[in-house]
Amino acid sequence: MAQSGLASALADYIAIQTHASHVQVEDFNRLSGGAIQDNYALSLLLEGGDQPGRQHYVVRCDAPSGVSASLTRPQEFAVLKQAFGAGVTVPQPFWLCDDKRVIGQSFYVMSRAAGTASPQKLVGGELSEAQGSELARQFGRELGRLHQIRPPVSGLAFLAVPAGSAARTRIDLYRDYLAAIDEPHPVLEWALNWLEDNQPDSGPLTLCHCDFRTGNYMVDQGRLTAMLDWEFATWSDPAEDLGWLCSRSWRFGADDREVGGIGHKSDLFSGYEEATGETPDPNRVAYWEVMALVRWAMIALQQAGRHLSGEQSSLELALTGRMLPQMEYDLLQQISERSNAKGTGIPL
Amino acid sequence: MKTSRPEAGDLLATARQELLDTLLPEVSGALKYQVLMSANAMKIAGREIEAGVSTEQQALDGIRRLYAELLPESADNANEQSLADDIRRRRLANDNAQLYELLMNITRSKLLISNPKYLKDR
Repeated sequence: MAQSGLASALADYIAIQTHASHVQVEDFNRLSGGAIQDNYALSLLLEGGDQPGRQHYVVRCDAPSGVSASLTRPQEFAVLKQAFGAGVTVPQPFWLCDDKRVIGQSFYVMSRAAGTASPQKLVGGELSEAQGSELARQFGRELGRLHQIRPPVSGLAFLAVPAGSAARTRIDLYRDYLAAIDEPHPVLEWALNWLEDNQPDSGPLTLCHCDFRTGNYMVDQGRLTAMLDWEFATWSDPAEDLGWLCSRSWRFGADDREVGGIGHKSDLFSGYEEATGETPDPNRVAYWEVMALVRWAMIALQQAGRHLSGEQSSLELALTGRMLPQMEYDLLQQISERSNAKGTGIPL
Repeated sequence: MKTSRPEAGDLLATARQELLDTLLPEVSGALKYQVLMSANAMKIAGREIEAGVSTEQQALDGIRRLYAELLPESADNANEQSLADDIRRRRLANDNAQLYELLMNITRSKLLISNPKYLKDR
């Protein structure tokens, strides 16, 4: 569908949903940064109905080639509604349209959050020390609220509850994935063995975002305005979200600020405690930081695979494949540090 | 003696310099990012050409030495694939210091090609 046709089809759809008597498209453009789905910013002038006046929406559609591991738009919409209902700062989910006659694919409409998601701006000096610290605390509160959602939840039945522990499920998945690709990755095999041998006690499962990191949230004037990109959400160990956010891969050069290059774990953990009454176990989070490196390595392998197979020739995907040694190097260092701390020495 | 000159590495380096000196100043925004990515890819390819087969040979030598010591019966056909397999099957102990050192050396040599700055930053 041509861009202008798409804009007016979406505008008409929203006018019907809000019972507006008239609608005018003020602005419409494609947002960057969605490999799996297409996102559009849509500004409308609505007359009458439930949302009169100038409104700013984001429309999220399925892209033609979905990644099998991620949620569909209807599933993602259901997760977003749960998170919104639990008081997590997310874009307000408005309407899901599963009728493919409207624009040719499923989509949903949500409110547009103010601010920026750019890691370069957020890590690169836009925030003061105090703002970074408060933001890390807010991350903790947001995740704490999200982690209050526990299975079973009607409306989220499509999310499979892992049969074993969350860690075991991840390890098995990544082993299967490594076995299926036709190239050796000894460091990743070694790291998976370590993850298998050092699994934390199986704890309660909660709803986890599973991709909450710098780049996937919006910040306006030092405040988080929306957690974005819910397509990997699932039932997991709550420490997975904390570990992913703290992974070395997402600090964008600010290595000393271990929470996404923004703030410190003490802030993150105290925010988490404010929301849940529980302090996260630092060892458990560190375990999931190692898991995060393995997971990012798996994603990099998949992205490189899309380029190598000819499915999607892309310099960016190709270069992501060459990032693998970075994750491997961090894995070797971090596992060695963890082992030394426990006195089961793998010397450096 | 090679008769096709300048050689591949020289061509790549010269093309990359051209990209950075003449094209980069003329573009902005997303295009700038595309040019920098292209220059980075050419830099990596250049380093790989320069290293030649020596990096892979060094890794293979390291793997053979480890096998000679730890799994001599499998040393003849040892390579990166058998290393990965034997780690997964736990034929090589995960906490073995020599194994760790080998994995670190292999990873360092890969980083020296793909992103040497990463080694300095850590």
